Amino acid sequence: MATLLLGMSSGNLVLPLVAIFAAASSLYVTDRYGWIYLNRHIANLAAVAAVLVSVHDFFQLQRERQLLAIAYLLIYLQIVLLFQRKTIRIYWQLLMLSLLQVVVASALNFGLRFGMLLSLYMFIALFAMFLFFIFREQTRHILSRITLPHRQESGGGKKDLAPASGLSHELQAGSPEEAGFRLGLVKGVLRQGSATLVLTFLAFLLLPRAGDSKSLLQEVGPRMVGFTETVRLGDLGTAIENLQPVMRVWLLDPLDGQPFRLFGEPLFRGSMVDRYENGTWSLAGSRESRNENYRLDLARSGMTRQRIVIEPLREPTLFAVYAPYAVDLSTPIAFNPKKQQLVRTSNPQARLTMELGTNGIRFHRQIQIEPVGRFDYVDRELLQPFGDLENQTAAQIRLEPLREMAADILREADLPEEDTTGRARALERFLKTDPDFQYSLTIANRDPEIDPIVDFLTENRHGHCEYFSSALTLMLRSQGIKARMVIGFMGGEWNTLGSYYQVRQKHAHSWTEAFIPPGQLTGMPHGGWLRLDPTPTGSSAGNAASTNALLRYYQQVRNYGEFLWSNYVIELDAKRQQEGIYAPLGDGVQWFGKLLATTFWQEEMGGSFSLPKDPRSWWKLVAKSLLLMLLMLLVFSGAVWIFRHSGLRRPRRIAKKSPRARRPLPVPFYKEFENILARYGMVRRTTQTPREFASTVADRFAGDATLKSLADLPPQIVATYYHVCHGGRMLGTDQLGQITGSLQRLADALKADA
Amino acid sequence: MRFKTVICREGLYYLLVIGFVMFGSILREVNLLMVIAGMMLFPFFFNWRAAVVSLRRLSVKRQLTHSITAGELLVVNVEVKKRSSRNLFGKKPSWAVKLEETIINESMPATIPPKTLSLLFWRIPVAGSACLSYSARLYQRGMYKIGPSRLSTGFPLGLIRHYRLWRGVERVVVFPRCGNLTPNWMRLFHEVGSSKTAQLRSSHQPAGDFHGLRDWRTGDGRRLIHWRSTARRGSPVVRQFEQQQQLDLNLLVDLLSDSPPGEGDEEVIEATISFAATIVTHLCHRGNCYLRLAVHGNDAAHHAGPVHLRQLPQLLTALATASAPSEDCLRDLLQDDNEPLPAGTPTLILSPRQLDPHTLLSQYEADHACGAVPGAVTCIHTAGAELQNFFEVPM
Repeated sequence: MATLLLGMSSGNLVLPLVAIFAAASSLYVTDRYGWIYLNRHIANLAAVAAVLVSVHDFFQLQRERQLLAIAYLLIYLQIVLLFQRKTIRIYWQLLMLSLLQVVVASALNFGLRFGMLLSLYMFIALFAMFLFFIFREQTRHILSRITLPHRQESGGGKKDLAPASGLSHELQAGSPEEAGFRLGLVKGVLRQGSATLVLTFLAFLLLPRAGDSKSLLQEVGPRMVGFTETVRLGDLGTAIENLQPVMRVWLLDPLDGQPFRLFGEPLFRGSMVDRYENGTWSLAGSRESRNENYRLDLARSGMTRQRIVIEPLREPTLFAVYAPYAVDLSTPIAFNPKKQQLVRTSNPQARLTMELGTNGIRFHRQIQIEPVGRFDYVDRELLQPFGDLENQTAAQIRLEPLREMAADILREADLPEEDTTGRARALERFLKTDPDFQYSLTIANRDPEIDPIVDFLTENRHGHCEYFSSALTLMLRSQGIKARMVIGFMGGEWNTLGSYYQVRQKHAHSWTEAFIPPGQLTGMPHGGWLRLDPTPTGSSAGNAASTNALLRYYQQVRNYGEFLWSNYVIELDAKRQQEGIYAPLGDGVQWFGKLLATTFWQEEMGGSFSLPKDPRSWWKLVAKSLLLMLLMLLVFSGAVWIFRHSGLRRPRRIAKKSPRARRPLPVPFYKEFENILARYGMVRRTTQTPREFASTVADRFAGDATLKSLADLPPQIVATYYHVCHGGRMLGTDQLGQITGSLQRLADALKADA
Repeated sequence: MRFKTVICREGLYYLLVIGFVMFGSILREVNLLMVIAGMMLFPFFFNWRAAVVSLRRLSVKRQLTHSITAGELLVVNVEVKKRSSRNLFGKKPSWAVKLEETIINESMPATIPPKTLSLLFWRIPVAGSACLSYSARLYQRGMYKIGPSRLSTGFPLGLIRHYRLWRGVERVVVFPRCGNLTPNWMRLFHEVGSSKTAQLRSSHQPAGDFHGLRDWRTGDGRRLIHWRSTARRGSPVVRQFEQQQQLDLNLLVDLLSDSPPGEGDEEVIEATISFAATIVTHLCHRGNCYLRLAVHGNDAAHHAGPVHLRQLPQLLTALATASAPSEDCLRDLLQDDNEPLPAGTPTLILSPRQLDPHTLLSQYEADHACGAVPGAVTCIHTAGAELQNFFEVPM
């Protein structure tokens, strides 16, 4: 198990599989049949060779992979030990190696799956240690019996009068199986393992941290497609099939701070591109703005908050519902006006947690028109390549079919020139609802002679979101409406357990923003950006997957588990501990303080008590009740402990021999006798004495032709039992042997008769 | 110390790994290593707790015979009980409890080292008991002490072992082994016994119980004439006595050797004790005998009186616990003013030393302080070949 964990963590399954094969084969060729044994010298040589190979590997591997050399060394040593004659020492060394393998594996893997396997490993390791303990006790006990000094014989001839020595052996030694160790073992492992898990987790959470948690290996995130300065049509399609998690987003209500689910799919903006050329979008290079980052404005009260946890990525681009506002100025985020992106100022190859405010969400809905921000460019670049209407460029000529199509649509719509919003929506509606346009992730064979968007609009009318948004953006521009293409994420998987959106790469999306002049909008003196999504609805890859409700629920649970694992185990640091653990605990203590006040009791538990309307608040009530019960239990236990240890307990009554105390010593052979008979339905009644029982059995045997010869046996055994039990007689080895033989004969005869 | 907790060697290695993991987790701030350290540490504490709880409310009871002969098998039934507990968490049975029994020969603690044997009780139920037996063959006579016992368990992981001392002690007397008395011995014994009768006859004293009267015959002593009946009948009538079958013996077992202490010396002493034990056993079985046994033990042991089988354990216990004195104590063995011997009781001295009976007799008769030896004195030199004339060493 440890080797598998190690293999899983190191990404190399060959060596662990070899180790498993070695373990399986050694079980037969070494342990069971004893065909192959490595003697100590050869084993030592092999171990030295393993060390040398590992040292060589250590210096050959890159720095972050050097830990693997240690991992492989542990596997080599394990294989060597497996083929040695198993002793207590060898078993113990194997156990220690296994533990060390897990330790190394834990430095290489941080996933939830590893954590779950680690818990499973703990149970298995406990079970192994239990078994090892039994083996050790048995072996040592047997050894102690063998090595007891035998009778010494002096050389003087009178050996019978030699100095004393004792040869001792047990006559009635029990075995673990007889004692019910199997069931007890399993119970013990389950009990102890569960307690260990709970206590470990509690200790882990409560143990104060000094700094930030980090891993031994630097996390390297995935490369994000479509978030560089240049985007080629078709790139995003590959990303849409990727299940790699990108971020988790909690949208928090501005009033009560509780997470909520948005009406409709949220759109998380990443980057913006505004220059189109032959199927490639890029940022306009003519702008004079310096490539420097600006701090975000502080969020105002009443703004919806968005808490975002972004996985390690290779690009610094951040995603959020726009327009973003800073909540904490120390968060390493900024806005880059040139790229028109929210970027992180810290190392992007590490997980980032940020909290932002936004005015893009009102009443749990994402607004359609967003005011132009102070960093937004609204210039002629947003009309490119149709900016120069007087002189037709080559690009315009290439896109002429597109322009004509847009013009036809608007002509049909018959909307006034001033209704920019209506005109934009008419074009959006055309792309979104025309049945000829189909959403597809398959790569179409575009005609290289014409522009890919023109091809999309006229020839191959299927494509993914980039084609739809590119087409709309260019159509808007062709009609003199300034527009830009935005790339980000749409929707995500809503997790009901954690009340957050899990955004993956497959949720990557592009849409269009059209500029609405200031005169056409109220309350927006600089104009606004109308968000248009021409991609047909229901096209998201996320919606197509996991239609099974149970499977979806499982995925949600797993996702939430991964979040908890990542948040409260792998990345638990001083800050998070303070926020997530100590602060709630402090609140709990304060609640207790209030609990002691009568007024609080009246409020919480008084006659006016009623269940809160919001089901989420029920948990609080349940938690409070549990906490109260725990407190009461603790107080009660403490009182009992003090009572027991303070001498307040009444003095123990003078020992009066109870019937149990007067019970004779148990006689194993008689118990075995009753057990044998009980197996065949002859059970002694509680009103019968052993002698009466034996007499009954003897009568029954006498009446049976096959058992007639055994009729004398029960009375004899019971007579011996009476001698031992009530007469204080000791049985010698011979007598015990005779009785054992008789019992065996009885069992065999009954078995044959049955 | 009644309770003791020891970290086993495996536990030390285990702690070392925990320390390594904890150090790594703190140094590199890797949370997962901290989790592993916790997963390793808590079972360690559980092991300690389980071991401590397992040995609570346990009591040990032994059932054994209190005397055996050297070389016989001593069977000891050991029952370990676990009392019930009112504690909610104390209802668990005890697992894998090891009981170490120590057997010490108290008579010769210096020469025989204590022996320890262990019993393993896999399960002792709450409010119940578990019983195991062991047997020990004890070849050396003496007073043996069984206990105190040590209960221990490392359940469930064997990383920590908790010990508890149970002070209950049982004692077993291991009697010396008996050999065979040769016909020479029987002859000697009758000679010694008949010497008393002859002595009585020579003094014309009545020997035996009164039986009746008969007419006087030539040779009858005047002391036997019953004067009242003679006067009534007018002819001499003498008293007639039953022949006395009672044999009296004053058996002195001297264990002081001439030679310096050595292996051979011990063998001779054991042979002497074994010889004495055989004589005593023989007399007890025979009965109708007055025996005074004097032997040097931790304290000089004296026993005097008519012997019977009931006295045999007491006599053998005296012999079982006998040890060689550091100085000559024959005077002490002979002297016993509280228990005066019947007149003419012969004295048999078994000694590894070469003793002259006449010298002894005259020496002790001359010494008024120690009283007179009433009968004949016979010495058997047990270190020499003389012993084999009278006694066959037990096989």
